[in-house]
Order: sequence, then C-alpha cells, then structure tokens
Amino acid sequence: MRRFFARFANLFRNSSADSEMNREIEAHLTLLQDEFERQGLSPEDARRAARRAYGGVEQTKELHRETRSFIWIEQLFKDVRYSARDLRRSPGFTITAVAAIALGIGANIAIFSVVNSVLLTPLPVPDPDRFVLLMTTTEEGDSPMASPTKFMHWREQTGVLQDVAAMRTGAMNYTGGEILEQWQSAQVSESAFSAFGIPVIRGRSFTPEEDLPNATRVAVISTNLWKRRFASDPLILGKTILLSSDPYTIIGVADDSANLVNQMGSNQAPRLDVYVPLQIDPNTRDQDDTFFAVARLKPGVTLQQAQERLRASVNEYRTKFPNALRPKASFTAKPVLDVVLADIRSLLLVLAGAVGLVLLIACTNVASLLLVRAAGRNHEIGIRVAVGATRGRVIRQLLAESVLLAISGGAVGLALGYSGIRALLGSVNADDLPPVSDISMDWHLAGFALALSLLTGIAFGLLPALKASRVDLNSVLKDSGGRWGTGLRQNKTRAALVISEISLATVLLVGSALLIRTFVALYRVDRGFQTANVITMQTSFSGPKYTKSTAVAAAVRDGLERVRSLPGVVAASATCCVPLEINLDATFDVIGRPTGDKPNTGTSGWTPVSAGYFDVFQIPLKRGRVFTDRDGAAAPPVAVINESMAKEYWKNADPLNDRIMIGTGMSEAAQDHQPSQIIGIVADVRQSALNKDPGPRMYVPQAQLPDSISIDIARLTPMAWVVRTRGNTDGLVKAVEEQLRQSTGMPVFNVQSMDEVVRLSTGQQQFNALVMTVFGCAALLLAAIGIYGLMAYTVEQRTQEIGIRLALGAEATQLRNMVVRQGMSLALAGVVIGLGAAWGVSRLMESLLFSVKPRDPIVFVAVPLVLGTVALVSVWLPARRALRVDPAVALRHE
Amino acid sequence: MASEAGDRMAVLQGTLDLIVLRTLKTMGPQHAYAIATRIQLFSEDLLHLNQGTLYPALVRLEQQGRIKGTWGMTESNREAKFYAITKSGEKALAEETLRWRRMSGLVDKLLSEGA
Repeated sequence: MRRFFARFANLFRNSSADSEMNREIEAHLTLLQDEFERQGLSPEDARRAARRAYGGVEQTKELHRETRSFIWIEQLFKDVRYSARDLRRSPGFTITAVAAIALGIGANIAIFSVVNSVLLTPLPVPDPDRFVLLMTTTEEGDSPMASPTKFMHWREQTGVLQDVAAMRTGAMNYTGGEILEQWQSAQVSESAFSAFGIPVIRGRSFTPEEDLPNATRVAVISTNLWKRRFASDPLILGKTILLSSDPYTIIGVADDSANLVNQMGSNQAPRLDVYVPLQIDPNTRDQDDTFFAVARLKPGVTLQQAQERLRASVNEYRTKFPNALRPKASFTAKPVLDVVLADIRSLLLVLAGAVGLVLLIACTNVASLLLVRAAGRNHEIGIRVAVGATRGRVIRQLLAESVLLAISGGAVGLALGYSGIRALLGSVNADDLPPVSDISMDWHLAGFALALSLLTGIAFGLLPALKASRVDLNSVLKDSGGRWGTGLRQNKTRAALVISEISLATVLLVGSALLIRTFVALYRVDRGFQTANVITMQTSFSGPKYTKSTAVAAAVRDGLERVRSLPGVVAASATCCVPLEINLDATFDVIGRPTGDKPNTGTSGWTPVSAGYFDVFQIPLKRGRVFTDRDGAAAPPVAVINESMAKEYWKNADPLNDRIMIGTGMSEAAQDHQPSQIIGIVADVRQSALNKDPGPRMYVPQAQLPDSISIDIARLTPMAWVVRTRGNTDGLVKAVEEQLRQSTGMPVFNVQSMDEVVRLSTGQQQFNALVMTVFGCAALLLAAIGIYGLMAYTVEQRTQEIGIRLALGAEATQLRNMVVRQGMSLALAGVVIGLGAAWGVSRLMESLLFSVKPRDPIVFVAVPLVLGTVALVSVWLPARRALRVDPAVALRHE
Repeated sequence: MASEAGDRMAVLQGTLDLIVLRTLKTMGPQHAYAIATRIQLFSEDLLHLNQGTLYPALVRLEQQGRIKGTWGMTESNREAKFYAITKSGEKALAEETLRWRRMSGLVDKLLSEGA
C-alpha cells in the first residue's frame, strides 16, 4: 500500500525524482572512478572503466523508472503525445489510415443501428417474448387471420393464454367537422390495451360491457389526433363525434408510441387516429377470418406448452363448429417478433456479414500501412532499444499509435455512420422497414463504435508492433536504412494482406452485383399492366349507408361516370385491390367437375373490379369479353380468368363453357356466392409483388359480390379508384379528386400514381441493392488503396535496383511491365480466391434474389473484370514511376 | 541488451533484495558502491552483476520502507546516499531468511534424493 502511494506520488514529481536518480548514479560512478584511479588508471580511463563496471547507465535509468512509479500511466501519456506528434508529421499516412478505419467503422455503425433497432431492440410492447400471434395452420401455410368463433375459442384457453385480443385496422370517415376527414381506425377488443400495453394517458379504455354488440358507441383517440383535430382540448372526454354517420363518445386518449397495432394491419397505413370496440358477440357463429388475434402467455407457461394446448384444443373447436376448419388445419401461437422479423432476418444477416467484411478490409489496409511504417522505422526503433527501451515499451508505443489512429478513425466513422443512417433512411420509404421502434443512433451504438475502434486498433496494431520490436540491433544500427535485403519478409506479409483484401472485395462486389441485377430484373419483368399515366386514390365506403353491395356499386358507378366525363380521362375503374398493394385469394370449384380427394378444384387470386378495370391497366383480353356496367347485381353472375388459370385448370376444355363456384369451404359469408359464368380470359398480371409469379387469378364484378363479402372487404381496405389519363396525370389529379368528393360526399385520400405504387413495392430491393453497392464500392476503394500502397512502396524500395538495371541497359518499359506483372498477379490471386469464396457463400443470399441465380455467370464474369480494371489502374500508377527513374539519382538513392 | 538485463533482473530480484538487506544488517548504513563491492567480494565473483542493477533494488526497498536512504559524505569526502535498514526491513529480512532457508533446504533435499 505504501509502495502504491510512493509510486503514485512519483507520478507527480517525476522530474525531481529523475534528478535524484541522476545524482545517485553520478555519486556511484564517482566512487568507482576513485577506486580505479587508486589502482593507477588515468582519470579518463578510470571514468570509462567505472562506466563499464556500472553497466548501461541509460538502461539502469529505464529499469529504475519502471520500478519507480506507475510507469505505464506516465508512459501512456508520453506515448500518446509522441504518437500524436509523429502522426502529424506524416499526414499522408495518417489521413489514409483514418479514412480507411472511418469507412469501415462508419459502415458498421450505419448497419449496426439498423440491426440494433430491428433485431436487438424488442417490439414496442412490454415483454415481447411472451407476446404471441394466434394463427391457423393449414397444409398451405400458416394464416394469421382470425374469426369471431376462433377468437372466442382462444379466449377460453385460460390455462396457457391471457389478454387474448383481437384487432382490425381500417378507415372511418369523420363527418362531424367542417372538413370531411379520413381517420385511420382500429377496431379492437377490450383486452387489446393490456395485451399491446397501450398506455391511456387520459380517461380510460373500454370496459368489457362496451365491447359487447349493441353497446353504447365509445372511442379512444390518439394523442396525435387529440392535438391535431381537437387542439389538445382538456375537456375532450365525454364529447360526442360522428364517425361514418354514427355518434361515438370519446372516453380516452391513448399514447401513440405503440404503433405496432397499426403496422400489423396494413403496411402503408399512417399512424392510428382512433380506437373503437370490436364488439364480438360471445355467442357468435361468425366464422369469417377478418382480423388478427394476439395474446400474452400466462406467467410460467412456455411457448411450447401454449402451442401444445392450442393444438389439442382444435378438437373441441371442431365439435362446436363442425365445418369451420379444413381437415388438417390446426391452431398455434408464434411470437409476434418472429413473425415480424421472418422476412427481414436473412437480409440483416447478409448486411451484417457485408459490413464485417468491409471492416476487415479496412483493418487489413491499416495493418498493411502500419507494416510499411514500422519497416521504415526499424532504425528509429533500434536506437530506442539501444538507449534502453524494453521490448514491451516499444510495443506499447506502437500500439498507442495504432489505438490513437483507431480512435480518430472511430470518431470520424461515428460522424460518417450518423449521416449514413440519415442517408439510408432517406433513400427508402420507412414503411419498407419493419415496424419496430424508430431507427436512430443511441449510446449503445457509441459504445459499440468505441469498443470496435479499440479492438481494431489492438488487432491491427499488434502484428506490426510485434514484428517491429523484434529488431536485430546490430544489423539495424549498421544498416543505413535497409534498402537492400530487408523487407522481403514484410512484403510477403503485405502481399498476403493485399490478396485477402482483394478477395474480400470480390465477395462483396459479387453480392452487390447480384442485388443490382435483382433490382434491374424487377423493373424489367413483365408486370402485365401498364403504369404510365395511371393514378389511384381511395375512399372508404363505411357506415350504415353502405352495407349492401348494390349501394356501394351505385356510388362507385356515379363517381366513375363523373370522372370519365372529365376531358383527358381515358378510362376509370374501381377495385378493392390495386396491383402490388393488396392480393386476395379464394377457392373455386368448376361446376360439374369432381374435385377428387381435394376439397376444391383449386385456389387462385381473386380480384373484385368494376367495369373499365382492364382498360385502365391495359391488360390485354385474350378471348371472350370483359365486364361492362351491365354486369350488375341483377344480371347473371360472371367471372373473367387469367391465362395461367385457364392453362392450369382447363387443359383439355374451354373455360368459356364452364361456370365456377367461388369461396366454397372458406367463410360463412362466402357461401352466399352464386355460380359465375366464365366470360373472358385476360393476360397474366403480377398482382401481389413484382418478384412473385402471377399464378392463376379470377376477376369478378364488384356489383355482383354478396353483401356480406362487400362488408368484409370494406373492413379490410378502402375502395381504390384507378384512372388512366391521356398524357401526364398531374393536371387532372385535383379535378378527379373533386369529382369523386362531390359525387360520394366522402373524403378522398392516399393519392398516388401507379409508378409510385411500383416504386414503393420495390423499396426493399432498392434498399438492398443500394446498401450492398455502397459496401461494394467501399471495399473496392479500400482494396485499390491497398494494392496501390504496396506497389508504390515496392517501386520506391527498389529504386536503387531499378536504377542499376537501367544503368546496365534494361528497357524502362520492361521494368514497368515487371512491376505491373507483380501487382496484377497479386490481384489475380485475390480475385480467384474471392470468386471461389463467393461461389460458396452467394447461396446465402438466395432469398433476396429475383430472376438471378446466386451463381449468375454474368456477375461472376463482370466482377473480376471490374476488379481487374481497378487493380490495373492502381498498379499502373506506381509502375509508371519506375519509368521515370533516373539511374544517376537512383544509384545515390538512400 | 536491455531485454537480457531485464531477464537477469527477474531471476535476481528476490534474492538481491535479501542480500542487500542482509548486507545492511551486518555492516550498518552503507552507500550503493560499498554494497556492490561487498556483494562482489562475498560472492567471489560467482554472482557477477553490473553495479547499476543495484539501483532498482534499492529504490524498491526504499519504497517498501525496508531501508531508508540519507545523503552524506564518504571517508574520501565524496557525496553519496547512505542506506540503513529499518525496523520493517529487519522484520522482512527475518521472514525472508526463514523462507529462503526452507526453500534451499527443500531444493537441497530434492537434489540429493535425485542423485
């Protein structure tokens, strides 16, 4: 302890302690010298003999200093000061190294923040691990859609579940104010507030009584709406508002931060404005799947136990509702987090891998730079060792330098990453990213960056430091600086580093090239519909006036007539489901054809449309006819199918001779369908996504939908108007909106051009391609710096040799070619190794690709060409210098 | 080479402290030169060490409070720092001697058994 304080105190009086030491050593030497003089030596000889007997004075001092105080703290300051001074003296090296690290760390931070927000930060609900989505499993996959009977059944599973909640998002028209407004609404069961953990900051949420059918209408509004529409009125509770013509009493204000509810409904809905009770009848027999159901696992119950119980409970459900489920269907529960992340997980892993590679390349580059620097400093280090620096001390000094570099690089990288996040998020629609909490920088991230830079510093500082400290004093001190002979081993290390850089860059470039090709392919793919000059907008037909299909159809027909009369409008139609936004499926049975062992003839896409739909999207009619306004409720039911459906289900027959029954075995509402005559065959359209094959699809007239189906669809999504104009749509948007508003008396919203819809649907792929391209370019740049640095150094080192060769009559171009050959053989080795690695790992990206194979030949040819060109340029520049060597100067070159 | 000196120090460190304490205990306050000379004489040059290597040991012992140094004049009228053993130094010497005896006894025993 005492020694501790003595050391500690010594930190602060180093200079006085140093002079004390000098005084003591001096005294000792004097005594020794006296002794030697007594033995008859001259004063000078005695002095020399004394020094010899004493041993290395400076070494003793150094040893002494180390025992004296917390030498490492003192030395640390010294090392850092020294390093900073040193780095300032070689700005070229410093800037390159800092830039390389900053690039690596910046990319890491940008991606880490996305990964952090998406994977590491849980959903904005309490206890997300125990928050499950209740699903129906069938042979065709798991469905998250739930019916009132399922909900009531699940709510009884109190042994394993609690807070079973139902939720359905949609839109309601606020008709109470001066301006018509469309509100994003959620119909939720009373338990939803506790299940989702939605805080009610004013008033209260629903009571179980208010959640029963025909109870008084109550609503909870969002904080945002409260501020926007009601100017934060403190007396808001108890007020009555008109929603879709019904009066509702506001009983609470809910916090907006829990916007998960919103995101589970549709992927493009803005924040929720209002919550109203779903009001499911406890004795319901309604088996239509129209909402989502979530629950919390009961304390002490594992996910597995809950899943087993749900599976077992299917039999009870079947007893109660004999035909509600398909033969092999069952129930299960999945953590909501897993469901939300399922699509994006592989993307995040690929991104994390890519970013790791970039960091690795950056570190390799800096390690390589440090090697050169250390080689140039052999002499200096030799001197330092000779005057008494221990090996540890030398290593520490070199490490201090690399850590200093790493931290400055980290700081710049932090700034780079921060702006990178902005740029990344700015480049894509936020809706394309998963609905978790907001993506932003946080302190975890700063910690991550710091740890990363320190680790990098130590990792890439250690190798050169170890190497440099193992100097052979004699050769170093005698050697004037090692132009000859030395460096071979170091250059081998550097060559290996450059090869690995290039191979890593190759892997990244292959990845980015595959994603770019995917993105291009998405735009090139035959969509089946024409987007130019088409606009879409929406109206929500909800409320008591629109419970019948005929009423909706009449309103739609009125609106369309007005729009069509506008000059410049070529065609207009309405549908529930704009391509690339919503896709619905339905079962169908060909009348008079046995289904065999299957329950139905098949399942296909299903799109209700009104007349003019095929004209708006210019979908070619192949046979028969399309719908007209005469295909109304009173007319015989008809359907149009696409070519895929005709090909798949009418191999040897004419579909136009057949009638189909739609929706058999689906929901109760679907049983109201009448058989429809197939009247036409149209070309295929990619409805659900550009990267999904069209598949079979049937179209039906909106006016002929059973009323119950109309209501179900209106709950799911507002009606979309689609309008084709002659030339640019811009001038007509306002006029179309106005006509629709006047004719329906309801708000029109969500105006988008079809081109925008396409762009939004490819947002994810665009994001992938963009990010990977940024990484690929960063990697390419770093690899180019690496190979350039090595070749420039080699030429520099061999100036004397080149000079001699030139003096002996070698051709300058020959020498240049020799340098180029050497550089390019490194590049080639790197590319070959990289291609091999990419061949192996590109399969991991398969789920992110479209119409491009992981081992796409074009990519595997183009990437080496690009890399080869870049490498050639980076080798050519230093090689040219060999041409300019003046033998007279080179021979004197030190 | 510095690293060699460091290695030798590491080996010597424990014993050197003991030798210095013992020397100061028998001879009374001494300066570093006298201690070094005495060690060399006594070890009959078996323990060849640069006199300079004594300093770290002296500094360390002083920090540990086992010896105390004061500046004074030698008989030849030269300035020198005289080190004297302290109470705690004597205690440490006793403990270290005991430990050393046990240790060397053990090593002796081991070696003679092996032969």
